[in-house]
Amino acid sequence: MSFQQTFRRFTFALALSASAIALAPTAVLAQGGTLIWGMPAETDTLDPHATGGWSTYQVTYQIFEGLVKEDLTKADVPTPELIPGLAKSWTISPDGLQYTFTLREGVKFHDGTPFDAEAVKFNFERFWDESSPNFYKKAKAFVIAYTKWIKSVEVVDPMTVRVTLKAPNYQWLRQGLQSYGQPLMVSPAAVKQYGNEGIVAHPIGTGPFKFVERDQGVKTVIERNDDYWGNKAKLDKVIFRPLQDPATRINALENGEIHMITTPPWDEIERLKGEGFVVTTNKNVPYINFIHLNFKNPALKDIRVRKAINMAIDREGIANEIYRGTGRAEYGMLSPGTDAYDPNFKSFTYDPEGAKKLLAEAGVKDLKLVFEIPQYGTGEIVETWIQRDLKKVGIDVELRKYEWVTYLGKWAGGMPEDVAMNEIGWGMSTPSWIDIVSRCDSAPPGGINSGYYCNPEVDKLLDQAILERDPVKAKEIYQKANRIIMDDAAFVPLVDDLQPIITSAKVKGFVNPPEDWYDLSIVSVE
Amino acid sequence: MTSPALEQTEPLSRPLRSPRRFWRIKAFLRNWTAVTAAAFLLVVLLASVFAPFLSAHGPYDADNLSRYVPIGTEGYLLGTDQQGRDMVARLLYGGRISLLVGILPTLTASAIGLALGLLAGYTRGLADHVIMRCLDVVFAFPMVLLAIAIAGAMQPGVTTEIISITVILIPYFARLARTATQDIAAMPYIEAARAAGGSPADIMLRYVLPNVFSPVIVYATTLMGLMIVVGSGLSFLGLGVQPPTADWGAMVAEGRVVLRRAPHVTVLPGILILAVSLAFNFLGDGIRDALDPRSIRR
Amino acid sequence: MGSFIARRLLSIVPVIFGVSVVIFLLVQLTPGDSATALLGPQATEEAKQELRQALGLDRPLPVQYGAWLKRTLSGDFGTSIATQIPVTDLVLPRFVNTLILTSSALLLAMIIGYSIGLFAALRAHSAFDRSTMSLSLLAGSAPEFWLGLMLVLLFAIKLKWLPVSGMEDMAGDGGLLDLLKHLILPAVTAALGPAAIITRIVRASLIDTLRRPHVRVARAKGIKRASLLRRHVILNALPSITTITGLQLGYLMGGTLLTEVVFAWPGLGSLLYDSITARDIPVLQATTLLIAFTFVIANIVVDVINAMLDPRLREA
Repeated sequence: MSFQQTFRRFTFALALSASAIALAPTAVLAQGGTLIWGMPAETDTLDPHATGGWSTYQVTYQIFEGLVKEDLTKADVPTPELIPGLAKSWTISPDGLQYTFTLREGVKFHDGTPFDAEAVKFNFERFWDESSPNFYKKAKAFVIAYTKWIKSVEVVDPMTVRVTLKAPNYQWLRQGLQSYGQPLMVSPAAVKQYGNEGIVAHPIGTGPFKFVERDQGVKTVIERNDDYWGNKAKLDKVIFRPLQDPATRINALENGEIHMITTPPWDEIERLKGEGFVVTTNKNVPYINFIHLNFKNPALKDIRVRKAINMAIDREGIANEIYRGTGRAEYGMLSPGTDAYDPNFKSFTYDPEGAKKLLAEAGVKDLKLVFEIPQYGTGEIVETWIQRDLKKVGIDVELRKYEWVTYLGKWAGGMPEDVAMNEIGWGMSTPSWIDIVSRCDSAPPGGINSGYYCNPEVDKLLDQAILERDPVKAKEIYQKANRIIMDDAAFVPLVDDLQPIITSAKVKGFVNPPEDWYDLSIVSVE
Repeated sequence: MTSPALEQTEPLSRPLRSPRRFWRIKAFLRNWTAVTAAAFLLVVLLASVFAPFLSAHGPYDADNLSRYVPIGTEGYLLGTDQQGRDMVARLLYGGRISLLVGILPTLTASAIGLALGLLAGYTRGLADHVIMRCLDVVFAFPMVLLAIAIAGAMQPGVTTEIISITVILIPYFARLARTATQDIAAMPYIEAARAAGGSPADIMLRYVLPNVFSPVIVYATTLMGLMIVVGSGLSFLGLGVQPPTADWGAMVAEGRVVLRRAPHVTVLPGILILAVSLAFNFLGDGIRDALDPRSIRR
Repeated sequence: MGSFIARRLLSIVPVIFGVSVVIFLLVQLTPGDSATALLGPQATEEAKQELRQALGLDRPLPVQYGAWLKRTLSGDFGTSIATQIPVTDLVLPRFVNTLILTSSALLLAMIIGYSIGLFAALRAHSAFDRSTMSLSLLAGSAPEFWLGLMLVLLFAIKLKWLPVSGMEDMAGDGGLLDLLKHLILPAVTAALGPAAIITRIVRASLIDTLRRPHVRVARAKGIKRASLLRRHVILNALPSITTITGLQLGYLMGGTLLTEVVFAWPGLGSLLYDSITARDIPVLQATTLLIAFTFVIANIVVDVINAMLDPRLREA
């Protein structure tokens, strides 16, 4: 070869390797990035068995998994599909009492210890089995709605676990996927090493992210689990940043200090959209904002008064004017995020004249009602609107606002006679949630039927629904119950917000699912 | 969350001997800043009291089609807020609550604190120790904690605000009164009165009290303006008035979120709080200068 | 002098004890307890009872207080009910953060206050004096949370010189420069109120001292201004000035809550607020005691300094 040829080949090879080196880091950078999420509240503890808040679930969902999961990667479904999690399949016996889970092989906890049937048993013992040495008393209070159905848990073989229930309940799997007590799988080795109390500092699960550090009040950091059994996450890190003041959250978002906020102030949504931020909503939220009507209050014992209240409130107006298009009026007590929801369900329409007539029929004049409400960071705009609507039909509403925890105590304890209404917004992606607020035996102190509503027909239907294996048939039964509840005018469903989430344009792949927590493993940040 | 000005105990150059009201009022009137401030406060007070006559709308009349209307629109001189309520109405009616929260707790606390401080400073000994230790506990207590705890135990509202602020202010007045009482009690003419056989109560009321009164009044006037600011802080934390009641502090706090879109909602009540607080300060300065025989006004 | 200091130090004990009792009682009076706070909508009576038992909240009050007292005196401040993090691990970093914010604010306030106060006093009743006094009043009368917002809008959003919130850059690596950048706006916001007060007091004290006979005599004698200030004026004006400065420190310790919330500065104030909201009793008690203790110590330091300057005060 001539010198020139050698030289050209050499430079060509050099150029090739140089470009290869130049491309390689880019290829690495094309993954993920860091997502910084500005949260409205600090998480409480990172021990999934001992926490009750959905804002905590938004963090623990990334770290821990259960036997079954909800598919949160699709936005346009009425309710998230149940998909295999740490159990690759399961069967339910014909009598509905035995759940046999076949576990996924080759899964490891973040600390390297293997996931198997013994690990599952350990976890169940921790939050359910009081006779076991592994029992954690604090967990019981949180996971109780899920565990009260369990009769026994046995290891069939190293990859198979059987859970036997006391009575059939076809909503049970879904009940274990709510945030009010999270029966997710924690590493038994971690519990043995750090103790039950130590899990909060060492939250070791199997999920697509693992825990890095927590600086309480400042940030909680998780990073990608490269040994994850499923689709690996794209993001390198996620930083959860508590920012309680809504004005500060908005400013931080605009300044690029955070990439994402949930629960934005309604009035800022349009402006932020105009500045290039992405607003996603989901119309199938798994909760409902509603008012409990107190059946112990003398005035509300008359069904006409309860109906009148329902007819006097302009839900569409609230959805348009206050929620500015990110709200949807509700007329029934099943939330849109359940598979029993019927979007065509109709009950009361906005009819102030009709309301006035009903009140006159009931012989009610100058009615004064007390409405207890919790303190919201956004001000009580909706409640003062309701106050005005009721004034127009002749009902004088006195608003009594309480600090949140004080309010919770009052709401959960049941309304005294002199209080007519209180309100709350909550729910679950399982329609059996309706049991908690409307059954006769759910009246306080047994449950949270704060208004003491009781209709044995409803209870009968709800008993049937939970025994119904076929979701389509179950939906019919729940709808029947819903119809009776609304005919009784037992509650006043209000307006759901459509869960608007604002992300910076740099955030790619984010899905706003019909749930309150999100799968961050599909997200990346430029 | 306490205001720094609470510890402002400016020295009176010399205690007074006997009232010479006429000269003092005249001295006050020569201070045009203080007079303007007093006049401004009077106007604000009257405007709040006569609010129904001064505004076409009520403070609770919401019109959802006219939300965030800017200043100068027809029918809404100063615009509307997040629920379409007229700002003029909200400011006028809000003044009632804000002024109440500024004035009432201060006056109450000054009376109680004056009594306690007088007692402690004059009698000394055990009563002094006990009173001051108890007050120290209140002193050391973070104010916001007390406000939140009281608001939790009762309902959050104007009453709670007033009670919290009163309790917090008492030690400051008591300390001031005590120091002033001790200074005066050391004066020769008091000793003379004692030697002449006057009873302690008599001496306290006739000679000490009138002289302790002056610094307390000055302090109280300054504090009134500050308590309006403190009240707004409590509203920001959600411990203040209840919806839909109007209050300048609550308006500032709520309007912060839409500052970009509709600045007038938060800026207007903020300006009022500033102006009233300033006016109270000038008034207090004026009273103090008028009471100080050695003040030279150019 | 020694016995004076000893006496003042002893007085801490009843005060701190009193604070701890009061705070314990107040929390008990507040409706809704930790169990309710933690359980949220699941707070059925049954669940609450379980949780209360697990947390030891169902024992009689004196027993709970006694247990707490015993533990605390041996240095164990317990565990946070909400987050299960040991209280000392929670509180100490926040205390340091608040100290950083507070001392920066105090330093700023002192620099501004002493210098402007001095100049205003030397030019008493002039236009400079009048205008600076009015400006200081203005700064001192603005609500902190509103002022903070204004500063953020100008310097962070419009000019993009400084960050909006927090103590550190989330995605970055921290470091002193990062901290300082984050410190500026909150420190200025917290400093303005105390600066206004210090200015006024310094000015008033100096004017008062300047009028005193011995100063007039010194002036008449023809002593140069600098040495006059040093030897005759400032020393005499010091007691009021130190008192007010010390009190500002006390105020700042518990009073930076609003600034901390607005700027998301992770300090004691916001911890206090959160622990009340969550009814997190161990954290609440530890934080309150810490704030109260600092306040009392600051007062004592001021008293001691004043007693050193003026022997007549040592009788107290």
